Amino acid sequence: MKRYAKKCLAAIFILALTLSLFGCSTSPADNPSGGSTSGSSSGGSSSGGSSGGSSQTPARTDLTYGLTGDPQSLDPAKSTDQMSRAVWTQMYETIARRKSDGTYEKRVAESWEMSPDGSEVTIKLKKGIKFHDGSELTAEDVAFTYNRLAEEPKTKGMMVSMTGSSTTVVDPYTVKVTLTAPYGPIVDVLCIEGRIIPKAYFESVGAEGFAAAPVGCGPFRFVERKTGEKIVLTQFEDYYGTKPAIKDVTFKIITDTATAVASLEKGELDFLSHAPLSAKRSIQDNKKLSWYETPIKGLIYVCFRLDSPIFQDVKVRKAIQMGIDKTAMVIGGVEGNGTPVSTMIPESCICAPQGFPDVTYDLEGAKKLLKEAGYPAGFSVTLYTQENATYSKPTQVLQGQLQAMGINAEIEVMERSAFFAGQTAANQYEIWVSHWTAPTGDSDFIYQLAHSSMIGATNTIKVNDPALDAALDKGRTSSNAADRVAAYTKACQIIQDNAYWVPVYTFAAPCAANKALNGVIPDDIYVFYVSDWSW
Amino acid sequence: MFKFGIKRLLIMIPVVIGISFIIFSIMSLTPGDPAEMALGPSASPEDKFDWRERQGLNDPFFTRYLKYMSNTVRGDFGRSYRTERAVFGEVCERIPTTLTLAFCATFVMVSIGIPIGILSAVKQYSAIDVIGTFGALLLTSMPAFWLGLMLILLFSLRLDLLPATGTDGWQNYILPSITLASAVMASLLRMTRSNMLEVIRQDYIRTAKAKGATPKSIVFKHALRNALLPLVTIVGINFGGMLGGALITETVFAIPGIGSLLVNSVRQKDTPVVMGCVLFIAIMIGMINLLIDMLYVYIDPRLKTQLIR
Amino acid sequence: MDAKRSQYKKRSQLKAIWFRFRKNKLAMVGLVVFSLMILAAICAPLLASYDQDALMQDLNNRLQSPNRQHIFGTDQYGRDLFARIIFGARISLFVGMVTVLFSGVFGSIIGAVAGFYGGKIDNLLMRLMDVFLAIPQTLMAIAIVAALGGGMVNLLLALCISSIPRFSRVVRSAILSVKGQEYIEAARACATKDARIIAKHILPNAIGPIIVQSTLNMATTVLTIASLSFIGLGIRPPTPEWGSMLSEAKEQMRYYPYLIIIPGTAIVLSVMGLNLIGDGLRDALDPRLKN
Repeated sequence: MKRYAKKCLAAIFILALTLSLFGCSTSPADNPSGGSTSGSSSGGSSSGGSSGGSSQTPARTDLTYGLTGDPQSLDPAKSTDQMSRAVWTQMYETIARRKSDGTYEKRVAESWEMSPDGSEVTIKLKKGIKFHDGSELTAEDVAFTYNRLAEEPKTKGMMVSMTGSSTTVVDPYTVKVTLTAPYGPIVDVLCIEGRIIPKAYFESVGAEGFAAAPVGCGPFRFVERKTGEKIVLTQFEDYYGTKPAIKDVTFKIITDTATAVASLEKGELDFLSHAPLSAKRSIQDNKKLSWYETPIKGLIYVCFRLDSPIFQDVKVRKAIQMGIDKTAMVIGGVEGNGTPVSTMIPESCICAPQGFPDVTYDLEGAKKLLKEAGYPAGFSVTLYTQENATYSKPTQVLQGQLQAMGINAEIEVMERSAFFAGQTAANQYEIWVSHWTAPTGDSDFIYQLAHSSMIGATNTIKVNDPALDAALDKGRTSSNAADRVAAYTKACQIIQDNAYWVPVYTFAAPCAANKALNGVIPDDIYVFYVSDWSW
Repeated sequence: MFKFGIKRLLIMIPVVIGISFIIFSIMSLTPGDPAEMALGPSASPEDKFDWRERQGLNDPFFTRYLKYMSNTVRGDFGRSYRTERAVFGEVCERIPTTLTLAFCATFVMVSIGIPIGILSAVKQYSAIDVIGTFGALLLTSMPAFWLGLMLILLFSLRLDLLPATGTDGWQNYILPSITLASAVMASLLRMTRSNMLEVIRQDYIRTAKAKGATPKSIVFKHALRNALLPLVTIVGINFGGMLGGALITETVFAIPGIGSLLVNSVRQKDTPVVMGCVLFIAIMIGMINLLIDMLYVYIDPRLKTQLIR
Repeated sequence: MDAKRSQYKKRSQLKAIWFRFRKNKLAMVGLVVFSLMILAAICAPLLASYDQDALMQDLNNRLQSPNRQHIFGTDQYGRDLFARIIFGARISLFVGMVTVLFSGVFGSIIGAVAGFYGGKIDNLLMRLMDVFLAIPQTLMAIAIVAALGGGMVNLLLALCISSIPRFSRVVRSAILSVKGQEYIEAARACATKDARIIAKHILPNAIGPIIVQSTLNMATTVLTIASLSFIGLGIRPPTPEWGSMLSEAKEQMRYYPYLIIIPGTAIVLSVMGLNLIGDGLRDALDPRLKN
């Protein structure tokens, strides 16, 4: 009897399975994701016509935002990764939003004032701003947030300008940030990194409770999170600013980029922030999707560990500098969606040197130099990289370029955090491909990479060059733009003469979205405000 | 029966301990500093030391292992290096998804493997037999991730029939189930076939034929029951195997189950999560094997005497 | 006289096995396919140059579909796909054979000792093997490679460790099945040394299952290598390996499906060939098991 029933059940299920396969095909326009509630799906029905949202049905108010990695934490002080930022941008606010034209759109701050020597900022806050838990935003919260960010181990490095600083409460709506040394771009740093959290709430639930149920003052508030799967936000009714057109945001996490693109094409995602460049063609060909890109304020470059036995010889470095075919790197690394760069500071950065001449590509010359340096038969080396295509693809091409010079390289792919940890660990990598973006868009970012005081932290190649240090200090502290450009030009010249790095190319930061989504502007640091968008 | 169950449970314990020891040793061989990975490259040496102190990583190997095991018994599986959430919670969140996937895959395996196996046996050497056996073999020889990718390419991108990722609806489980089931379908099909063949040659079947029973009733009433019995074990073992083998499938289809959690944390060297996942999977497989064995003994009374020593 | 007779027996036994194997059409197909693979691997340097074709990048000629100059086309870095496939065969075969050799030898020793001596030793060894068996093979390999890093040596280590338990099981049951026979008892009664009994009576019966297990194990090893390389934990680039080729080609899948189809087919053919051979051998060695 038991087996009979089992067999019958099996037969019925097979039937159901086959039917379902056909059943699916009768409604291809149906959005299978359970989250969406609205009627008309993106791009219209199967009979062609891609007008988004007919006049009969109301516009959508939900959004599925695709992330290619799980945010490490929803607490702004507990991580620095881009996936976390994507979520923070919707939930938290800072003193102001810096627009691409350089102006500031004030958010939490009413106004601010820098002291003449540039080491203090006094910020006046708007009144009546509410947090998601109903409490009001006061100077206490701002001071608490800034001091915490300056101390927390994970954010300390990013906020290096704020080390040793203190933020004090002047009155309930005024704070004063006191730095240990003058730092021009401090306001930019606060605009981008200083996400305000409520002091009272944080102290009552603790760090872990906060990360599990975060509270900010942004246009969206936290609803729920399933790690590795999704994060759900909904609009905050008491938001002090203009209410966003989109009311519900679901972040979907899909680590495999190819699968993420497939999801986007199927309509399961409405927006994908880190669309892989290899998908550009298929997304542009797709009538229901739009492709956006903008050049990043950053670059891809080759690093040499300067205390490694092989690469401490400037001849070897200059040989490689000469022997890298940057055009080939652009083709292989970013499918041609990039431009070779001649210096470590992309021209789009503030006070960057313009029109800096590059080293000419000369493969034979490179081989000759290598022979001179004592390596007529080349040598062997391991190229470490991480799985992210931004790093691994140029590394692959670099391997081919080195091979043409007679250098045998093997590639070892590491996991993301292991790779970054390895950059600073002693004697790990000898030559590797790295990537940097300037979050504030200012040329000063090079300080973190090249100044000798940053050895052991972000100066991963361990460069210690007094002339370079002097140029960087000048660039950082002088307030005259022309002086700054001159200082940075000098720095780039020193770098090129010594081949400390080989800057290779800058590329476009891509994102892709449903064509019907309005208001999407590509961003070079992948910061997107859902509150700007509408259907 | 009861004694049998208890005895088997007791045997499971040293096995689980052994597994935990092996995996713990392997993970502790990892070069590199988890503090650096957790805190990022700009952290100072003092912060890293403090962090390691808090995680208890500065103790010698055996101390750490014993501490870990004693915590585990009390239900504390430690905290993830990466997210600092409790491992127990993270793992438990994901188990239902993987179990659902495993059940669906088992269902696919059973509903395709067994009928085709029966047909192959009844119509031996016919087209169905050859195609079925060959087809199953083909599926087993394919790497799971390749099959998954091809299925996505065909059904999701070209034909636009099925969703590619996630777990929103029941349609999402179709492609991953097929992928997961493909690897083990062949063995089930073959076993069914050989069992059926063996049973068909038995005397009582001949008697039934002689008595004039229709072929259909022979298959369904007499042969099937006896042939299917040993399959229970295979299905059970495969189900357990699927729990472990879902690693790659979950990654390709972006299914947030315990397999993808495991792969991600192994690559991030997030040891507490790895240990938690492995222990959970091992215990689950052990329990399933136990249940299957008990079920088997229950169904076939002949075995009762054999197994109770 | 005795020696001659036993020699005859062996030869005709082998012939009988081969005869039965030959009758099995599927097994012959598998043998042909696998031989092709071995042939390709051996002749690889004659058909293409490793440095020039398999490794040298040529970005101006990337992503070419199969044409006359490049039989299988070129990949996203301009490397000739045909060369990469046949050199990939070398890698897969090499790793597979070494793994099977090592784990076969070690596994057989463990299984033999356990099966022959029985009792406490058997119990202890089998419990140990159970522990290893309870960890899925792919998972064990992932853990070891993730901890120690990628590369050939660690990969081999991981694969061997995860394969040994299965070998030991197979050998142990083969030995157990023979141990109970009467002629063993008789041999013991004649005060034959243990080693001689093992060598002359038990091992010959165990060899069959060992070979079958080796073939099947090699099939799973090829799959495991591909899976590991797919995740990035296997053979390091730029060494051509079918699994890592698939992983790199994933994102180009849409417009250049040949990049996925060709290496995938190579894997399927090799694994299937091995499986068919293994099954055929199993049927040929003990025809009773077939029907």
